[in-house]
Amino acid sequence: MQSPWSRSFPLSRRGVLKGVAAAGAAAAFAGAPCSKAFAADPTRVSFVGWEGYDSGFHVGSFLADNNAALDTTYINTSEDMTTKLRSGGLGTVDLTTYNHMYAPLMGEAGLLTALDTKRLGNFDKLLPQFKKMASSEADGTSYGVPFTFSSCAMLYNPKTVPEAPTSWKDFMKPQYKGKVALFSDMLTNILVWAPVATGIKDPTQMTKVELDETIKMLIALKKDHVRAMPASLGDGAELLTRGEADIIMGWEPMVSWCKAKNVEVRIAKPVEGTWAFVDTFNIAKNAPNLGLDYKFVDQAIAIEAQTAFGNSNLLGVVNADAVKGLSDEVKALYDFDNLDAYFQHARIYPRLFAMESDGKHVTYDEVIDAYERFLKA
Amino acid sequence: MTARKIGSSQIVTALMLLPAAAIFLGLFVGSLAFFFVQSFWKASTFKVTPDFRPGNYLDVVTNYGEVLLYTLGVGVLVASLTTTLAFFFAYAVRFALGRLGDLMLAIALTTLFGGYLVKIYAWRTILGSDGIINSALINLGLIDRPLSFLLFNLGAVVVTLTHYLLPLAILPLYGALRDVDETELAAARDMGASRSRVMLDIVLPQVRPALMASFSVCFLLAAGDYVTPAMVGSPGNAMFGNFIQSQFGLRMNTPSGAAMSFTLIGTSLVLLTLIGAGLRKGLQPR
Repeated sequence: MQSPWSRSFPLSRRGVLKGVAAAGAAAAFAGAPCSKAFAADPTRVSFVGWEGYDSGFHVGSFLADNNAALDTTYINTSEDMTTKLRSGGLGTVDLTTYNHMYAPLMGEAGLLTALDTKRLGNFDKLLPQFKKMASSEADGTSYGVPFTFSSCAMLYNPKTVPEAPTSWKDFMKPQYKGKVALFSDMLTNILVWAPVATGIKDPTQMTKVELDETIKMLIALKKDHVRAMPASLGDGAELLTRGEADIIMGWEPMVSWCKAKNVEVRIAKPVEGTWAFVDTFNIAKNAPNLGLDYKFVDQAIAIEAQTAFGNSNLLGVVNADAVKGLSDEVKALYDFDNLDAYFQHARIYPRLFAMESDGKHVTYDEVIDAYERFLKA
Repeated sequence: MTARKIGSSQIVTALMLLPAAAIFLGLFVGSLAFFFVQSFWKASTFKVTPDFRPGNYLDVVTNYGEVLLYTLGVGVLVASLTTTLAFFFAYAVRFALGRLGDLMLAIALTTLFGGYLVKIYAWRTILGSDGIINSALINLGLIDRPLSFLLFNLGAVVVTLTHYLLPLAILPLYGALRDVDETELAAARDMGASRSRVMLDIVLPQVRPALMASFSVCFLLAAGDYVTPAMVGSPGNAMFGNFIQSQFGLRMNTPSGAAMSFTLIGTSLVLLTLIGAGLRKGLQPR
């Protein structure tokens, strides 16, 4: 996140010292009456989530109006939130930002509070796709309010790939051998490649045979075609800017990141589609500031907060009224003129793999076992 | 009187050691003991159940034995290479470079300030398609397209880890070499011993504990690493640490993660004991 100080208010050391001295003198002259003018200590709200996802809380005077302060713990993976909640976080953590597929699961595991969306004044402003999603989770119980979306986009460098790829299977074309990159994230690799390997529409409902087919294809990719599995999204963008890879499993904001380094990167639309990431705001179970937490969640989906969030993070927003405030760059990345088409391509799956076997579909553990087979191969 | 003095000095010593001991016992031994107990528990659906399940260790050997052997192999390779380079560097600083040696030592040690990730990114820059090596070779007309085999493979992992660990290996070796008496070496040479004989019979036996210390530090850090292979290794170079990370993160299976961690600790200790015994036998002073 860019600090608001860094561009608008260039400060010199001398200037800061002068300011501090003046403030000190003012405080000394004002004496006791001055201290009474301050409000009570702000309520501290604990946020555990992705960096940048808290930016909406700093828009306008939201924190001051609610006499609140934000304590942030940024995560590296979604699992960090679960670790935090399970290791003493319940009762101290207020807000998390689970992917929508994890949210119902975590709610059922007793880590999240079931949300009453009627307490969110901005809920009705959500785009229809997201309003429906929030109220259809886990048999009608909502454990997360969607507030941003993006997808695993197929990105390519038009200088080295003159014609846009049309299928994920293009990764296997001989001319791109050693010039393609996968994600390093298990869920993304499985959910994107299962439809490619098996033609399945909802890979969270895979059979064992379909899972094996998917892993077989991933192993073939890894052994014969893939240059790297970048450790982070930034590393993925770097593969494109440095010419290490020509086509990658990427993320929409990377287009702008690469452009900032004078490398043009385009988004291809493979026929098999891709997986849409929808992240939600959640209130942790036994959150210490429940009433205030609802205000925070409502703020996260408010127009001004959404606009600022979308523009600064180059991510999709869920508030219909916030769309017009987005930059042309962000609007183009997420095809806001035809959002239905965007989500026909980038699929939203209702929930994660089953935790317990139903005898037909693979479980979460079986998927991880299979993925480890891929990693070891 | 003397007994009282000794007693009070012992109390002072004990009091001085108390904070360090408390930290060691509380933060290191305590947490390790907790995880050791957990390594016998059972996990299912993101929940951990206090249950006695020794099969966790059998699962580690069955499911991850091959990866464990590969990881130990990488650890031995990195530690051997780093310790060898560190020894020759420290030897040159101690006996051959004179005042320049101090400068070289200072330069080597300043790389400690660089930070781990900085070194990884530095090597990505050096070995990458548009990196220094490829650019130089292209500009010299020796190649017409970048060599892709320099990065994202085991070689890049070994080079990066060696660079990171080298100053850590130099320190104990240089300290030990400072204690080697030059007159002994001169006497041996005067009596007709060759350079290699002096090295094998006098120098190496005297610095054997330092060799072992350097090797152990390098081995343990390399075998336990999971960041370097993820950033400069190939997709097929996943090390044991990557799977431990997956157990603690993706699966929330702390019992299995703990069992894997203790298996790595145990096998590492066995391996280091064997290597230590080999060095003791092979490097006897004569």
